[in-house]
Amino acid sequence: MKKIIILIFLSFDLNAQNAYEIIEKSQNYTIGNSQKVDISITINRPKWERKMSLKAWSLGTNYSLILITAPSRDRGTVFLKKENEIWNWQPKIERIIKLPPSMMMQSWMGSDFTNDDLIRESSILDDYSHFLLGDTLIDNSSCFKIKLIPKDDAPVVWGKIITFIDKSFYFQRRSEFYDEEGELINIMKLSEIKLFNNKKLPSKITVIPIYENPDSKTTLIYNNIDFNININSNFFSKQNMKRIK
Amino acid sequence: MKIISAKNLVKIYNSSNLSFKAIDEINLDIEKGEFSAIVGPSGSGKTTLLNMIGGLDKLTSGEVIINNVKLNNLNENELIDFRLNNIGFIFQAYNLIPVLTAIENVEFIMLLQGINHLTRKERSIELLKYVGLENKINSRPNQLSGGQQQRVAVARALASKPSFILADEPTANLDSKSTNKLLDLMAKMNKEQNITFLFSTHDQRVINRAKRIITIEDGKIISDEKN
Amino acid sequence: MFTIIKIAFLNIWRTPLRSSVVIFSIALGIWAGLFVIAFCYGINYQRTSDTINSSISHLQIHNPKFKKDYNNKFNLKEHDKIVKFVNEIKQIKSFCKRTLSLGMISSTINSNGVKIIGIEPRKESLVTSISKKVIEGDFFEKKKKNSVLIGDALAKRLNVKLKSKVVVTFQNSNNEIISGAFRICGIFKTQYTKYDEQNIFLLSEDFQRISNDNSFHEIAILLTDINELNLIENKLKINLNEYLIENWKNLAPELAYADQVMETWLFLIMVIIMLALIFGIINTMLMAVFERRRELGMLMAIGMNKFKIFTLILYETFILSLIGGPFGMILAYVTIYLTSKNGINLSIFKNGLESVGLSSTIYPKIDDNYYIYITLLVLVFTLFSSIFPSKKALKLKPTEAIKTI
Repeated sequence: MKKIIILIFLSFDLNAQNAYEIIEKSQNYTIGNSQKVDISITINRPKWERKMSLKAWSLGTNYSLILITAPSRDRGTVFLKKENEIWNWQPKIERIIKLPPSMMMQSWMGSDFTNDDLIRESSILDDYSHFLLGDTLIDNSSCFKIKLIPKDDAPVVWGKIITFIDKSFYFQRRSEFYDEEGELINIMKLSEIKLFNNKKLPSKITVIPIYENPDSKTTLIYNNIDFNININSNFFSKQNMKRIK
Repeated sequence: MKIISAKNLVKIYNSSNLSFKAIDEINLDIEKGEFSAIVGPSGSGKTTLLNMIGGLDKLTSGEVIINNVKLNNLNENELIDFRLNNIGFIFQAYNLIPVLTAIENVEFIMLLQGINHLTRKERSIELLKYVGLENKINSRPNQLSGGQQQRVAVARALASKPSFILADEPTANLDSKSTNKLLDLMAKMNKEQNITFLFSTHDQRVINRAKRIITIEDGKIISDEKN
Repeated sequence: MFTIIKIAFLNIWRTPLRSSVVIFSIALGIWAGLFVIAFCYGINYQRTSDTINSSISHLQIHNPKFKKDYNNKFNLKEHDKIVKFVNEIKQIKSFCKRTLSLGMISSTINSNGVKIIGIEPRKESLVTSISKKVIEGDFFEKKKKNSVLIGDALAKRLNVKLKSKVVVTFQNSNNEIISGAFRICGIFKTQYTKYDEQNIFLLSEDFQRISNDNSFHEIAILLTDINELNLIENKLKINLNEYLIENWKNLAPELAYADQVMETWLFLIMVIIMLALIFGIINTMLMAVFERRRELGMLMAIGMNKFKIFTLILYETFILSLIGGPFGMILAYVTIYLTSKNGINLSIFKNGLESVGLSSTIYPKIDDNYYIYITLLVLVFTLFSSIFPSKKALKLKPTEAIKTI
């Protein structure tokens, strides 16, 4: 009897270990040390639609720079994340503004992403306990179904996250965000797998705020991703914000 | 003794496009103790003449001398003071202050002269007795008949001890009984106290009692005769 | 002199209806003036004391640089020293220390920029009334770690309720962005919807722990007697000269400004009331003079001089206001007394009033001096307005008396 209990504990442990490893592997697979991406974003609201395009460079988790290329109204606007600060270059008024922390988590340019999503270093490994729930099929591909439960003091609003990770390529295919009462709040779908620099990755990410506004969505399409580009921290400077094209 | 002396009196009323000669070169002297009436039809200028003599209105030219004072030389406030101390007025109506009693009305003029309270009181009572209103001392004008009101006015006119009394149509609103009573009173004053009266009137009852009748027409004296 | 006053007084009652109307309008003018003042003064007083009691207190101490961008670096360096000093001033009723930061609060649905106020609940409740504004849950009574008290309006916006989890994010003194998960222990509601939406309270010890910084940023002081404000303010300024000492007027300039605006408006209202009074009095007295032109002419003919005629009319006007004045004051006193006890219920305008931070029950309040001011004002204005008809009387001619009807 005792052995069985120990076995169960062990299997929990193993199980947890597995889930953690899967997430870790997935993170390592999707995020390179440095990268340049070319993205189109479509924001759909019941009454309007908005499209924008941007280019983004990043190095590790501390540095990233985003350049808006469309629409023309916002073209040339640059966001720079350097360690813990975010700077914003507004070409129209030729001013660099430091974003106060209060603006960080406001929705980013009207989308369903927040500034925080753009800059927060992935805490998905540290802030959550991970549980492998089993296998399942998403878009006809076999996936791990993993439950993420935030740790006690973790600064996370979610009650739990269910994420589905492709068994063959270790990218996410889908994530579901629940509040503490088990209500499904957001769904993130990843689809249209393409080959970028010999890596297979989903090129389309759709976020639906299913609880509050099921008719709305934000779609993000990777037009191009270059991994491990030749770039160093000097690139992420305030001077460069004004120059970048 | 000459109390009033009017020389070459002229009064011209100017309106925008019309000038009207109300008094035309009048010369008139009044002696102490006279009981005279200025008579004439309406618009003849008798009231205007009375106004000039009483210092109530400005002359266009000529001069009025009363008790050796030339009225032309006095300013408005000096004129008011002069009237207060030298002339007693009796009008056709609106003689009395409606909110004051008979005795207060008589006292009022002495109050303006600055006479002390006790003297005022005594003299007012005495005068009201004299005009036969000792039992109406505390009546308001609206509690008195027209004749009684005019008798209070006589008492008031006498109160300031003026050198003469100007009476403008004093009987116009009175019945014969009151008129006779009033005229009797004034004649008695003239006789007993030698008080000078100058009337302006077209009331035959007054004219009959007057000792001198000065008739005016179109601003000129056309006759001046003893009665 | 006395006789002229007597005549003036008696003359007034020759047209009792007309004089009563004037007396009543003077009374009404004084009443309206005093009541409007009391009403506005009541509103402002209530708003000022509400703001003082609910948030700003009488005095606050900060690092001089702190308020520029609420950078946590600029804390109260030796707060122990300040506390020790403040503790010794006996005119200070209570005070509390706070940690402050501008930051974000997020729920699963939404997020909002807020002022994060770290407090010591026991001391805070002696200084501000926020503990009494809790409508759900409690004011940190359970002393649970990472509890947060948020406003009703914010709770609705974030779609959260009691015990919901929220994440609070702000920048610490090293400019690091730090976040913490908090549970809602209580929901408060003040009259200011905006205030409720933009302020959250948590325990200063939680604030200090997650920001890894033991400093405080604000000390709020409540005095026993507001009249000693200047004295205490100067005392603090002299002895704590390296800190920024601000009184409630500096802290909430809009309140002091509201006082000024109110004074300007009241002045305008009073001028309008007075103008209406003046016109009424001038009109009535002109009528009285015109009606009595023969009588006044007679008075001038028999020897009443112009100065006396002038004073007669002046007295008549003045007596009207002397009767109307006290009547209006008594009326105002009674209405203000009654309404200040029971309040004026404006609940039909509740929503509008609350959005601008006003309570829906107004308690009129007035400084006793205003009775004197307004009365003097009315007397001065009636005197002024009596000059015109009196001058008109002077232009009358004594010959008017002689004109036959």
